[in-house]
Amino acid sequence: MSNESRESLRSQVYWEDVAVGTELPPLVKGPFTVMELAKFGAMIGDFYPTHYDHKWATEKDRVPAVIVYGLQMTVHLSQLLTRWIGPDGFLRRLKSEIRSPTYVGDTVTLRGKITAKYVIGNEHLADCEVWGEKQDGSIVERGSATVVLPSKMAA
Amino acid sequence: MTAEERRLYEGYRRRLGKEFTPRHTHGMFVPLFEGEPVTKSRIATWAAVTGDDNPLWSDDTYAARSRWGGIIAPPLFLLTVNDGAAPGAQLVGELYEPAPNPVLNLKAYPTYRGAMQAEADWQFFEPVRPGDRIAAVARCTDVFWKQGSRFRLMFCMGETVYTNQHGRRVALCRNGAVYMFKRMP
Repeated sequence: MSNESRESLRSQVYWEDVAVGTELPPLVKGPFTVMELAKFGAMIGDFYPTHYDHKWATEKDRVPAVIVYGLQMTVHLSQLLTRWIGPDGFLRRLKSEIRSPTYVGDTVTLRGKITAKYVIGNEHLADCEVWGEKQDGSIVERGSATVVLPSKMAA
Repeated sequence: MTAEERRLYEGYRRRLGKEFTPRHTHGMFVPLFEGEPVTKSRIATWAAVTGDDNPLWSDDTYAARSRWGGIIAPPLFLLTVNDGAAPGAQLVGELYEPAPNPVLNLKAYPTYRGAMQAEADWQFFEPVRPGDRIAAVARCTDVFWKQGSRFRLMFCMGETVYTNQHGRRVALCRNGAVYMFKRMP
């Protein structure tokens, strides 16, 4: 990792810094490769062949190409959030739904926007809508998240 | 609903509410590391495989300065303990031919056309840390039919609770499998 990206990760976002409508820094994932999918499959123990075997995907499942794991797409959304909330933030909740399949060779840009901020007890929280867009602009997944952010007041 | 579909539906309904330890039994899955202590290297491998270069997962010095005081695991590292999909996957053994051949069992279920995931809802209560031993307990929570645009859809919903060695819940995953069936003529 470059020193520059280390520094940007070190910078901490505070609850006071964000407002409804604030956009999260986008995260680009891909182009996805079969090797990447195979490694992911090994980590989660899922070896359904449509995630690594082109012949299986196109002939048995009759899809255009090897399909990215749905769980991998959820992981990408979680990374959009954990990068943004910094080392002192915490991802409290992530709801997500796949809207259309993502294939090997695709690139997905993860985006998000703050929809609410509030305090419950000692916790400073923000809700976000999050989504993933394919290179052609189509939405491949959508969801919502709640994050805990550090507060300057508490610090 | 055909007679076979009713059998599947009733089979899932009978499972509702009963807690079980999620274990993959079909040959297209392999067992994971449930209960084994989480290690820094396993966290680092997960981060590398998922293309996540956040130093909070791997850099002791960096992580020591965070509110956590040390390395933690990314939230969905829990997928390496259990993928959270076990409740919905309870019907896989019936809908697919015996392991290790993951072909649709069209002889027994001629209207079956494949599966996809329902919306997943993850809640996280505290981070997983190196040394933790995480256990997962699952249960089936609901089963219902919906009419999709191309298929009839059977939603098999469930939840998985992840607990650490202190007996504290670290996460709750609610999700489900959506089984697609041919429309009736």
